[in-house]
Amino acid sequence: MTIQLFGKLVRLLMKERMAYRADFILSAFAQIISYAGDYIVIWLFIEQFHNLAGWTWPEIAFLYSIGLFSYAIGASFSFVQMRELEGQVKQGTFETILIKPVNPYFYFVSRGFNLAYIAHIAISGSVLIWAMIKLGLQWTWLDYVYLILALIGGALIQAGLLTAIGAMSFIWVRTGFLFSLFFRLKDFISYPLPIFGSFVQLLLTVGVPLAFINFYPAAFLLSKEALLIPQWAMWAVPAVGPVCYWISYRFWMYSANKYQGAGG
Amino acid sequence: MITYFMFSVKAFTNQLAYRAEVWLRLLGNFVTILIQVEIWKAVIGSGNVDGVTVEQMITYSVINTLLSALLLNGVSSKVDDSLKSGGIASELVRPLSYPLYLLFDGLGNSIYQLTFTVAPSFLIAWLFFGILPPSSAANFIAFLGALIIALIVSFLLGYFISLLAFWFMNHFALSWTLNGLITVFSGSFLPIWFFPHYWASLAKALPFQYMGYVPATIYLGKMTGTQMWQTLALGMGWIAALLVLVQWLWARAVRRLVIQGG
Repeated sequence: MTIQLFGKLVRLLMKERMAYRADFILSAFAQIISYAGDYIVIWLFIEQFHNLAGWTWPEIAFLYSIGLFSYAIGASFSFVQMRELEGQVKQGTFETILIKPVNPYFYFVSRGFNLAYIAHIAISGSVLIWAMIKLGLQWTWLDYVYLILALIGGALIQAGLLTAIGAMSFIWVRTGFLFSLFFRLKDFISYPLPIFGSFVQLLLTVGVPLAFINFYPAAFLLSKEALLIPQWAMWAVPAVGPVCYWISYRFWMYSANKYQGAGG
Repeated sequence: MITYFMFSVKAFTNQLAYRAEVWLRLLGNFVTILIQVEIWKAVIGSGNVDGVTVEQMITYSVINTLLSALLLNGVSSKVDDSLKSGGIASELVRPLSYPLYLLFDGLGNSIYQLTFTVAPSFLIAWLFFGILPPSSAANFIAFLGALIIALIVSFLLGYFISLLAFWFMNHFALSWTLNGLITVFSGSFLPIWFFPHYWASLAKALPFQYMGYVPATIYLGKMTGTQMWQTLALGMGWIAALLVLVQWLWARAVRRLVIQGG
């Protein structure tokens, strides 16, 4: 799967989507309403309680938006593809991917590349920029570089976890509820980590590295207490993403190679 | 009636095939409750805010998290599947009421959830976080009534969405919009009594409050006496209004389906 081939594929996917333009716009609009609901609930909450563990509304909006923005990038390469993998394995249609003369993983995720996440990007990007203006940040160019690296790292963590769950399809067959559990766990990172007990903090740092998606980057960028990670280690945080993604990729390839086919 | 009841039994037994997922569901509910408990502990602590204690908010969160597993607004995706596969044609020629079939099928799923996830989750939440008893016998009876209203309202809203999909042909967009409205106006995370004035009046003018805020508030005794019975009566009014609306839409939707051909 070369970059050139991927570019061509995206152009084709766009054509496919734009055949039903009104439908696409309506769906994007509905997703924006739905996520606006999530933002509004947190905003109403802060209106009443002023802050959450010392984090004000623009700070939480910043935290939440990093999580959502990076999710949109990561999920466009993984979520729907991985969720549907189970069905393809069961039906035996997955085999056709294995005989293509390209890396099966990259073919699989690119073919399913999901343009619908544009709605997530639009709302989280707008709120992110609004929060940054509202906070009046005195940033150097290094901070902006850090933010971009953090967004990429966060996207890779989420794509990695979704890929690992998808790989279970080759072994376990039913993955539906594992995805639901992933989203339930992801609710943890909609709020600042310090409100949770040390077990949860440790779990989200060492067990399922969700805290690296948005909490640690936001804490460093906003000069907040980052708990388990010292300030000098801040540049190591965006590196968690590539490592997590690489392990998941290896696991997926290993499982796909072990996979014997559903017969047929 | 027996026929419809058999649809519930069938939905229940279908779900039994996925028993292994019960553990994951319990874990999921536990996580959702834990998050809310920690948030309320962080902002309320050992005192109270506007007369609301942390124990009350924990009970509120448990009721709402578990109630959401029972609600029937997911019915719209079932209709959507039938619409897309064309299976709706054969479902409509059966000599039974399609909405009643959907309702009983949904109830079968809810009874399964009640038995295998809600009841154990309730026990786990009680052990880990503590749950307050209902504030009085009258409130408990009213709470049970509010639960039934919650189920019916959620079913009617889901069914309403699925009928709108006959025109929009985009169930995805409609259900995401509905979910956004439920997130804010059901008060299932943030109770309406904590809303700023304008938002509170808006939430109270909408039916979504019956899917979370009303049952939990009645259980906790934050709403009693005349106000409580009035709220329940208004809920019945919403049910009547939604029933009229879906009946009217249904007649048109079926006609529209015929126009499209089979």
